[in-house]
Amino acid sequence: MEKIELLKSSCIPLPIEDVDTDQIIPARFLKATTKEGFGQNLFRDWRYHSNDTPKEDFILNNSIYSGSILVAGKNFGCGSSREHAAWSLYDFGIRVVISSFFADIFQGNALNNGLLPITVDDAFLDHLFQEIEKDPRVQVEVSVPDQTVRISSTGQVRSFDLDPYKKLCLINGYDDIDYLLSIKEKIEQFEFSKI
Amino acid sequence: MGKTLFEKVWDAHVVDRVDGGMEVLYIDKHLIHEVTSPQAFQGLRDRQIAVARPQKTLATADHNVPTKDQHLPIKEALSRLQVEKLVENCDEFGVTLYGLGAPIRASYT
Amino acid sequence: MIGPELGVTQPGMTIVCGDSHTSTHGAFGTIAFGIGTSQVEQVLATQCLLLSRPKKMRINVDGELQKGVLSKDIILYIISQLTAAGGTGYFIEYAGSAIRNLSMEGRMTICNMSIEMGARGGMIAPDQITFDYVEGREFAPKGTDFDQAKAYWSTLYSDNDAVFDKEYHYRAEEIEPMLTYGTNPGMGIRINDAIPTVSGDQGEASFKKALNYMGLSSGDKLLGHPIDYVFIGSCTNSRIEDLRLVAEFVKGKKVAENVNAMVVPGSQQVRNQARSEGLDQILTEAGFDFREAGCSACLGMNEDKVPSGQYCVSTSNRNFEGRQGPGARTILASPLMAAATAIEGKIVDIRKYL
Repeated sequence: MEKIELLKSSCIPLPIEDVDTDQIIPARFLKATTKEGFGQNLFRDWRYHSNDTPKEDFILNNSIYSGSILVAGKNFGCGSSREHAAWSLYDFGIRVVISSFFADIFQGNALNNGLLPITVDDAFLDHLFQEIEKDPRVQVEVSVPDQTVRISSTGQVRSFDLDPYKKLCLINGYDDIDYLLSIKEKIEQFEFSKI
Repeated sequence: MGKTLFEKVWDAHVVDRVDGGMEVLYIDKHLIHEVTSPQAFQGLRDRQIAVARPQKTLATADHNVPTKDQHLPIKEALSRLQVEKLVENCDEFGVTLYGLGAPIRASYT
Repeated sequence: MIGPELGVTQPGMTIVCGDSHTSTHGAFGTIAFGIGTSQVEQVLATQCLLLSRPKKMRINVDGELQKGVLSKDIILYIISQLTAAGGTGYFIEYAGSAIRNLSMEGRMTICNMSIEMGARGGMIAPDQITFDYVEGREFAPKGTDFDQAKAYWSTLYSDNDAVFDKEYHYRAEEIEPMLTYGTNPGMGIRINDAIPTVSGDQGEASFKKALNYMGLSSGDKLLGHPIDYVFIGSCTNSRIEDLRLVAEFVKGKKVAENVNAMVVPGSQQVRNQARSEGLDQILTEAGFDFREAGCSACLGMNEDKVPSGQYCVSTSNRNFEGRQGPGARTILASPLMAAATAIEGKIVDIRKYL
């Protein structure tokens, strides 16, 4: 897993609520056997017409907006457990998603892939959407060690919650498998005690 | 204080607790299928590790299979590839594969 | 599907799979839930998962079900009451006399749809019905091993003084045949109810978007609505008991001309059983397409899809936009309601036949 510690970037705003994983990546694109390449089908049915021409009004087709931070409406990532949703965002170049509420499985999947979901209050989210609307190039700074997100233009800062273990993983690029492999003996002892 | 059904089963499977509150839960049976497993097998290959408990792992192909003419190879190339990949991975890692009834192995090997 | 059939699924176990409907196994008193692919890799590599403990919820359904009301109606009713996000962060235990009176197949249907409330999973305390189902299956313990296992399984229930973070109580008598009208499983109504109105709050826009997608309006009833497709299958309702019920009902009847009706067994074992009982012949004679086993039209991933704009009464578990194919309009229902709809070509109340 790639490390993520500090990040400064402009944002892509997606002010839609209840974005489900079927919309992030539809089931018909789950047939790949690697983790790469899902970015091209990210938000496929919102991004392209059925004849594969881009929908001009969709945010990802608007060159004004770019960056590695996606800012989305509440309840982002609900629905199916497909990790492909996190992979497609990551493959597209997104490293941080900021919203006021995340679905539980998506949040776990994202963290397991070095994609940081940041939960902020509704007021801060609204403020951020407004700032992006004023200036699409507004920079947002994320610090994993400090657990803060800061809007450069206004200096507004919010701290966010992050499980201490998960924080360590993100900063060091460790994943859960590294940890679980490191406690192999404990697992074997547990198995032995069950027999 | 008494325990709920959930707590009785969960507590009997906790291997370890991590600072911050997360727990390591032991899994008795792991079922895998063709859509959400290929990248996981690749991960094992990249780390050069084996499946820890192949006898506790059970594979089947279901999401992609057509419901007509299952004795024939799947027509759609990507669906077929994904099912073939599962067969390969199960062979390589020693995991038992249950077909939905169609002779999956016979069709592809 | 195959876990319980082979006797792999046993009370007190932890079972995971990269599929959110793994919760089905909870019917046996197991902790079973869906995981992402990184977690599949964790379990392959170490047989363990790193998790935060979910909160505890109990849902009690007591009383006698009306005739023609099935376990699918119970769970669609519960989801319609709690909404599609009502279970987020919880692991659910289903309890009460109406749940205890269900067969294992019925219990699996209930637990299967736990994720549709956002819950991690759902489970039911094992009892004699569970033990009888497991005993004698290929991978079930045998002889004294079985007795020993059973003694342990019998201790798996919530103690009287156990504490839940949330608890709900419902009466079985209040539940009628259920249908969904929108684009998530929480948008469900009883057969005689009208589609509700949502206004004023934040949900209004997405509610309208859902009805627009479905081609329906607030105040409409679904009773009498014409249907193009009927799909009986998926991990929610494709077990032998479901197929028997459907075959018994459609025997000697004919699928309406405007309906394309399909029955897809959940596994090859179910298919073989159905054939040995002659159910395939009854279904085929009635005009159903009796298919081979698989996930089929539940998720628009294989060849079985519903065309854009067409209505499908489906025994599956998700009515998301595009779930059964781009533009497809899914109405979730029980196998009996689906069978009666196939025969009449429009949505009917199954109870009028009983």
